[in-house]
Amino acid sequence: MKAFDTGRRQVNVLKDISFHVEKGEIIALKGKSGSGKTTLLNCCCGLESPDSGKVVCSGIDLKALTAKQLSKLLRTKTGFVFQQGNLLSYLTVSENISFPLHLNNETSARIKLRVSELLSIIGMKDAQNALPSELSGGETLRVAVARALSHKPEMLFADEPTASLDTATGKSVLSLIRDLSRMQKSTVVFSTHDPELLSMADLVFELKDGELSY
Amino acid sequence: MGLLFFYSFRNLLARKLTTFLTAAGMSLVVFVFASIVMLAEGLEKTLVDTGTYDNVVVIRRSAVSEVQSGIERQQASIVETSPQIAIGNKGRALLAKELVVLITLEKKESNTAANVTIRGISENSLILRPQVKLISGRMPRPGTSEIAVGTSIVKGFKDIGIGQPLSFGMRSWRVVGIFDAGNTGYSSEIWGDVEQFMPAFRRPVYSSVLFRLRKSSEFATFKNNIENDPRLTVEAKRETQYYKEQSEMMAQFLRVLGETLTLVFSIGAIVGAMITMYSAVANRTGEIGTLRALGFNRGTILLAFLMESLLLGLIGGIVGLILGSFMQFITVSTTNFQTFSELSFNFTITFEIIYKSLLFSIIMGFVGGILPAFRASRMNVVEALKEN
Repeated sequence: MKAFDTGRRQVNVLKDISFHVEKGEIIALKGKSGSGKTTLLNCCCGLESPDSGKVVCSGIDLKALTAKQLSKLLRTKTGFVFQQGNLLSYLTVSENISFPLHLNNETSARIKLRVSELLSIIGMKDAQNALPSELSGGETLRVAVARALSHKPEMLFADEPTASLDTATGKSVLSLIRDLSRMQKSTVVFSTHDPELLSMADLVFELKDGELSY
Repeated sequence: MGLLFFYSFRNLLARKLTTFLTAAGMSLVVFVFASIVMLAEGLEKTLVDTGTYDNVVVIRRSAVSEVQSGIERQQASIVETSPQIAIGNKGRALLAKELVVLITLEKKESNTAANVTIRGISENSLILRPQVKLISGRMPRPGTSEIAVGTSIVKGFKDIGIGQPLSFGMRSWRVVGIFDAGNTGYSSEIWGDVEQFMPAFRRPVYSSVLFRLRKSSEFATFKNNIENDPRLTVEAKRETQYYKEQSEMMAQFLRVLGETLTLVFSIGAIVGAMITMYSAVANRTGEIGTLRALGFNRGTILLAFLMESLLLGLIGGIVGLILGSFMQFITVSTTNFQTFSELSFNFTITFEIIYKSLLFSIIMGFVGGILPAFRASRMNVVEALKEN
């Protein structure tokens, strides 16, 4: 359960939610704006803590983790794709992709190899030295996906990754997420309110009035 | 750590204008700090270099400088008989009985009068000071009204050159030589025969007796002997120690002045750095959220912002030191409060000044950055992400 105090009243965003995701599955969370998709994703990856109940990822109860352990979990076992990509504006495409690898103290040689591989997969080898400000919305999201999956996380969370894109570009970004995650057997949970993208998921959950339906 | 450094450095590069302005503020503070400490160091070095370790200066007990000292001829003769004095080439004691008085001369640039040290020398005065080199003309001959002047006197005062007359002590003197003593106090002196200066200035006593020790280790014995001799009211100091004491008061004054000015300026620079870092945190709230989601913990965020601020301080420190190092090319001429004489000296940079300036700039960066960094580290990650 997760509630927010708006000052005048308490809003119960998530109520009695329980679900289980198998390794390698792709889950879509659909729901209207304000239905609590982002809050649920944040709770799933540990960015937010539920008021009651627990979240278990790869056998680890997130609530039992210290802040340091949670940061370690975030940088080693999870990846996050934000709605706008959230690339670090002063780093180049390559540097953005390699950022989580540096965080995980990978060797230079392995970083170089992995970045090169991902640049080929997302088709942006020519733009490896470009800054985020020089990229289109679709390109930004592709780089964000590459960054989120660069360290081969067990779980990938994507909060409406296609919201700022047209349907075709959105589809291509989601295809990229699906292909890459399948390649490295990562579990994916993404939120969307675009019905056309739901077909890419193995399972679709709907959030309505704070409750989850299958 | 490498990633943090890289991240912080790139952030500073991305905000060139604010980085430049903040670092410029810090560099000015470091420049002021380094310059004033360099000035004090230059003064101290000039006076300490003036002395030679194996030389001993004998002055009247309790006199602070040669100017205030007086040693009667009879007392000087007693000192001269001490066995610890080295023997010179002609089989005579390597010793010089000297007179030091002050006169005023008109300065070239400001047209104002300034005190100049007149030193009455004897046969061994030049031998006892190997750092003094005659660069033009010759040394004054004994028994004549001839004088030699230091290079700083030629540069800083009006109408002084070889062959030119100079009036003081109710007599006219002729410049016959110019000597250079490098960055030492002697370059700011005028030398002539002591036996001519004594009647001219109506001073029947010497100011000091300078001699070379036969063995450096015999200083303590000599000092003990003459300071306990009931016929004498003198004290002995190694020449280096004597000149070090001459610079103490003014060097201390300069250091206190430097530290006070720096303290005041540094408050401004720290506030500047703090504003820069607070605005950096405010502008990058979303980015902080992203970094946290990518796996940066609170401590790493704190370190990242602190490193940025430390880098700002370091850049400011390096630039300030580079600017300050150019001051070495400037020669300052001022009155030494302790001797009341004009003294020329250069700004001098030392390793200690370099590391203290850099440390000071890093401390400014730290103080300016710690609160904004702490604020960045305490941000709620979800709230921060909403800023995107």
